[in-house]
Amino acid sequence: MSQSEEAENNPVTQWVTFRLEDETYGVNVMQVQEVLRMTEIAPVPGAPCYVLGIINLRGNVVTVMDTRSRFALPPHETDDATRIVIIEAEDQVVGIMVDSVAEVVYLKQSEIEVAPNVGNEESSRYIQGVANRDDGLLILVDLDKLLTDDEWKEFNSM
Amino acid sequence: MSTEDKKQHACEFEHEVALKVYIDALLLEPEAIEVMPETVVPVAEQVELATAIEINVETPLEVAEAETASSQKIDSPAELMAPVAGEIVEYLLFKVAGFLTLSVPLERLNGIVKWNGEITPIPGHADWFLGLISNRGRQVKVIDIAKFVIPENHKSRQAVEEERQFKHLLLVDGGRFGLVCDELGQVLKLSADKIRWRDNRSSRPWLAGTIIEQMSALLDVDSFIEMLKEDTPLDDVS
Repeated sequence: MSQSEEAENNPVTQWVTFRLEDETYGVNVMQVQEVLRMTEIAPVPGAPCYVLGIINLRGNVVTVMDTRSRFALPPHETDDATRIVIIEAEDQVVGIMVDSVAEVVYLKQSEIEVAPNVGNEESSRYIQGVANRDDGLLILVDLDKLLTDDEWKEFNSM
Repeated sequence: MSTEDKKQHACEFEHEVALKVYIDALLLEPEAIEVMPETVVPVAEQVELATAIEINVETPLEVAEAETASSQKIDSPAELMAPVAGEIVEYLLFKVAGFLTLSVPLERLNGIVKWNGEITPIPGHADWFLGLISNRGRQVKVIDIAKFVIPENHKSRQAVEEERQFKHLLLVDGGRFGLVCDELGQVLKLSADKIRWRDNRSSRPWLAGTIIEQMSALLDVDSFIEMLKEDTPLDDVS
């Protein structure tokens, strides 16, 4: 197989990896705009539990998702490693709070396994695949599916 | 002219203005109903304007309220709050439950009174309806706004229970409702572009938007009062 065929059949994608609790997750680099240190998050009254609040990003209001709550993880004190990853999903710019951001990894299509449909539907919905790496399993998150359509609509109207 | 005379004169003038607004509103009514049949409640409007006139004697803020109320009623509900581009509006920031900064357009306030704790609880209502307080011979329905805006199952709810300290009552709706707050903040003069207005108001209609720099939730006083009235179906005792 020539190199170009290889590139066509087995494309390489880049993923920004972050930690939440004991797992490493990856999100497509094309959807990541920037990574911020922890900043003041203002609570939004009446917001659903998956919304942490809003931040002022250079004059724009960005809603920050409580990723831990969405992933059914216990709350965690923020610290020096805490980051807010600004992503674009469902045509919105949103922030997701993570324990820490690790690196950017390159994955060939062949390295990505479609996630087995285990666990409750809630969490398998937004896992688009997994990749086995030397340092453990990398869970690839489909950001668009982090929230349901209705939830995105609600999120948009914070 | 003495200060007292001037005051008296000003009151009369305000009364005249308010009366004109009131009559204009009555004249405009059939047209308004045609334009927005589902949003204009003529009876409510009359009542609102009538109280506005009554309180006019007490505070000059009222004239502004009466004017905007009559002109806003014709607008669509989404535009109720959003001021005209370039227009400067004053907003009061206030804190509830120790962590939440809310804001209201200053002209929609009918006054601020110190909380003295002398409240008559009215059992059998929502937990955010604390009871009645007497202010200048009127009964004021006291609303724990933190409890109203933060859902019961929300994680910050505990803070609402623990942190809240009643210091002031913000009077709205002609003094019918009083919103308890912990702390009064600054007054901001802002143009409409300093606020992120919500376009989808199907949920939480009382939230007009966010004052961007202070990240403060801006209340839509009209929608808020509508919701309060639905849930506190007490006869108007005032």
